[in-house]
Amino acid sequence: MGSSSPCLVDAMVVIDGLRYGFWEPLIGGHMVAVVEEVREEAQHYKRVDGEKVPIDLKSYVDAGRVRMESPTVHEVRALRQVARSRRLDKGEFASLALVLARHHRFCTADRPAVRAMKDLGILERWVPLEDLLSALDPPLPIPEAKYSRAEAEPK
Amino acid sequence: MTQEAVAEKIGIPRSAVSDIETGKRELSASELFRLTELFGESLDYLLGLEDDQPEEELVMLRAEEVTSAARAEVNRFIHRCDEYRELEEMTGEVREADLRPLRTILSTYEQAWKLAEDERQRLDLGWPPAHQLLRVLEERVGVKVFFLPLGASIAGASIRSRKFGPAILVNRDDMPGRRVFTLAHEYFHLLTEGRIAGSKGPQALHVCTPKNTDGKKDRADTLADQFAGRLLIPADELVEQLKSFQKADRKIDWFDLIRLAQNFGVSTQATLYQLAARKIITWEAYKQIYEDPAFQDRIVKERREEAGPEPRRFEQLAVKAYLMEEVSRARLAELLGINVADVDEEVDRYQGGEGRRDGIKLSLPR
Repeated sequence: MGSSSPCLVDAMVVIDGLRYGFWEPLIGGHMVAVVEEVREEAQHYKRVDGEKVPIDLKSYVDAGRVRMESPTVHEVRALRQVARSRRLDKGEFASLALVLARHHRFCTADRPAVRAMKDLGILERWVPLEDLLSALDPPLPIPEAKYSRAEAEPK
Repeated sequence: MTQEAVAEKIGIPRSAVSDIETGKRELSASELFRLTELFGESLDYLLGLEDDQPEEELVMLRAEEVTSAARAEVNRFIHRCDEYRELEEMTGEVREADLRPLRTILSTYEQAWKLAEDERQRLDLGWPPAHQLLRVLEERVGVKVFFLPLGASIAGASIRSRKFGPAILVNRDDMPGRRVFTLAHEYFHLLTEGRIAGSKGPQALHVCTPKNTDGKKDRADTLADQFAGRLLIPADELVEQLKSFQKADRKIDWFDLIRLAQNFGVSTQATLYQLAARKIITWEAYKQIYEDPAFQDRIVKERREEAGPEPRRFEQLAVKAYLMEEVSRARLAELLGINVADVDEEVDRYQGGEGRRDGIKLSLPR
């Protein structure tokens, strides 16, 4: 991708990454980071046969393969001053606080989250999963259409 | 709250709490979010971003004489009501309350009973009223209802807010029969707004603790109990059922008492109380039955019985807001108190299967 800033991912990227098998290549090819709230949210994924598999995101953090980031209270406050509605959850909010304050990138396919980035004037920091997977060597296809740029991009 | 308690709740050492308090260590965002949950306060309040004029209902709450645990729960309830209103606005389903508050001052049991009869008819609660009350209050009257786990600190609360309208909080930890009684009790507070002779006076917020600190019940709560009993157990229906149950010796047995409670959808305890209050049995008989260990055992069993009806509208609006892409998937999970990986299943439950469907055209009478 040619960027040195970490790319934060939302809980669904972690969950679907493990479900569809792109998690290992993703964290091997990019500097992936999560906020504490996303670690708490990504508790399990469901295999295609419906079985729940627990996720131990902390083990990836402890092994230094995924970065754990946390905004300061001042960074949360700075975001809250310009984004008062409650359309996003704590994990997305903490991630956006880091995007705003530290210029991190954020990978999500959630349209309200992408729209919030556009409203905040930080849409250029949004990275669709399609871009991350296509930049891997070898490139990987997206597992679901919602992860394409065209699907999630604000109209 | 002690430093130890805060440390345990937010998962950091006690020394770290001390360092945060003295400014030696900065609070992290995760710890800040956990504090909002612990105290039931909004993020804006803890960030010092609340408007100069705090919300009216929070001012009222701060003036209430309740424990810190109860205050945190009512805080949480008020913030949930704010979220409810926001969801109504996002989905275009803002509902004006069809509540007719009293303008006169109530002073007698008879007035409370009359109000119960009038409301049962106005709301067309049918029979048994307990089975319809929750749905009618949510859907027709426009009352926001939450069942939250309140432990032993609060039985219920009610509020008339200029911002989000009327709302009722019921203790989820109570058994279903008790919950519906609390719902009716709190509805009385919404209707009367504290206009009760010998009570604290007009109130927009009412927090009901199981017992007052002096052990006495406020007059408003006594009348609210009378209202709830009459609303949920109509006098004529009670007499008709008792007539059909009684034997030649004009007695009913315990089985009939329990059946009566089940038929009315209220607790056995409330049913027994109503029999005494309406002079169908003597207070002596009431005391004798109530203090019987087998009756106490029945009360404990009722607590374990299957859950009764649950408020639905808040969850329905949250799912609708998600389907309209007004809230994120993770936010929906947060609002419903589920894991983000389970959102699809929950949404399917509400919309009857996967995928989006075309709208259904209606032709309603004008």
